[in-house]
Amino acid sequence: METGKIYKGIGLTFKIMKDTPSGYMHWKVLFYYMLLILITDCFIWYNAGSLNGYDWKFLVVYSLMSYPLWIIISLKGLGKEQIDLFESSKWHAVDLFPSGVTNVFLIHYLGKVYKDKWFYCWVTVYVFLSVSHGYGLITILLALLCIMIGSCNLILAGILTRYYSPKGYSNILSSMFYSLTWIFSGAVFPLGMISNSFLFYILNPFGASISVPLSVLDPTMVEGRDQLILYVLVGSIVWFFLFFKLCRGAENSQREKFYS
Amino acid sequence: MIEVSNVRFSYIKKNRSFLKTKVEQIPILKGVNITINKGELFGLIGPNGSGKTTFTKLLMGVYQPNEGEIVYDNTFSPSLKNPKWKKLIGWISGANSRLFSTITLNEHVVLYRNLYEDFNESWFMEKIEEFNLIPRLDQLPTSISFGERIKFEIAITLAYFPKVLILDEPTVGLDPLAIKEIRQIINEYLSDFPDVCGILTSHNLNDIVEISKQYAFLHKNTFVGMDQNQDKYANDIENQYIHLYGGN
Repeated sequence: METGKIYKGIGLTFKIMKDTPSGYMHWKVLFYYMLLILITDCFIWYNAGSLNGYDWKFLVVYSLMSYPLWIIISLKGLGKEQIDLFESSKWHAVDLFPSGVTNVFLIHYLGKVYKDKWFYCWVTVYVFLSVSHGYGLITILLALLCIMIGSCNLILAGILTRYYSPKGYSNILSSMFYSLTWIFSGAVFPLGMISNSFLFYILNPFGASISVPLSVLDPTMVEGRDQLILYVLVGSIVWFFLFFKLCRGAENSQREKFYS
Repeated sequence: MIEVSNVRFSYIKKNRSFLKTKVEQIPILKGVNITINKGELFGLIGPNGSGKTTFTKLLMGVYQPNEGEIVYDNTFSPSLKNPKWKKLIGWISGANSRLFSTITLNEHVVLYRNLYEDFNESWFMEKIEEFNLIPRLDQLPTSISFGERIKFEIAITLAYFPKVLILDEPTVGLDPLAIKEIRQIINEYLSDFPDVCGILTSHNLNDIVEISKQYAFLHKNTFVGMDQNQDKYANDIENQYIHLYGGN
């Protein structure tokens, strides 16, 4: 498929985003950030003296696709209302649910993300681009599953940060956590730029959310991509269970902190 | 039945020093003894800051008493570490909403349906229809009125048939008609489910008269003037209130 058509498709998505009011995804902010990502990627490329094997067109597509996804899957998670609950002695409002806080937040979060029109918009463009690069349905589905598990890891790690932050420091620690996930998820640049190692991807619980699924759009990386997606998926599922167990433990051991 | 025996509670202040010592503050509650029988809500009256909400949190198991004990049905003490206990609690607060601000009322129904296995959707829809809230179901909690929010919370909470009702000033800020509707639904619930018990705190003394069977004042950190509601009028309780707190 012609590159022009791909950019036209992305442009159309932008137009829809611009014309539709949304409380959290302001299209101008989104645009500025993607521009920032593009400039950052170019800067890294310029300093490195090359694109580290990346095609410049891929960097453009990556910049256009990564940040909107990160916005959708991260900001919707530990959103304002959760912070309000943590901070305003209203924790019992959610702690009274029999399933436990972690489950409620996870269901709530997944519900918010996967009913979001921007997410569908993003998935449509993603599927369109992946098919244009010649990928089959299974690879695309696995990559989408990666996004789901990766985003669960983001929310669970976010809850853990809140639980274990000393009282009064949770906001600053949470911001630091988000800065880290910004980098480790690959929202700012392809993680492959700093490491091509499979182990690096598998040990990173957040790589599954952005960097790995977007690697499908990288025309220079052909060999071992399906394997990479599969390994990262398995790795991130292991991370998911680990985070989940830690969160459930913290729910009981740390709850008194929010009531005192 | 809930039995509260000789309960004493004070908040703990944690020193942020290296040793992280804990210092007990002045007791909020001391020597509290009450028995809340099945089929009744205990009315608790007291000025702002007297410890009414703290007592409701003790009943829910949010806090544990420093001394004494609270026992439900002679079997266990309330604790939020016990999921079975959580299923029994129906908490409605006028001041604190339990609704998530970013999901619609309909989505709350889906959430509750999944969280509470006893959630009865047809019963819930019946109540929602009575409250004229059906057109609001697609809206976010932030875009409905305060009265509608309370009515929705009452309907969604009672729809999973909680056995312990904790009503913390449920009629605060409501118009007389809404107050009447809320009293009616709570009384109907109590007569339909005779094994339900709980507590009602309110500054509206008519709530106490019309909903609870016995009441007490929270004065100087303990319960005083415990009395039955039979043949009482709000004016009688108001006179008791003025007599008790007016001299302070």
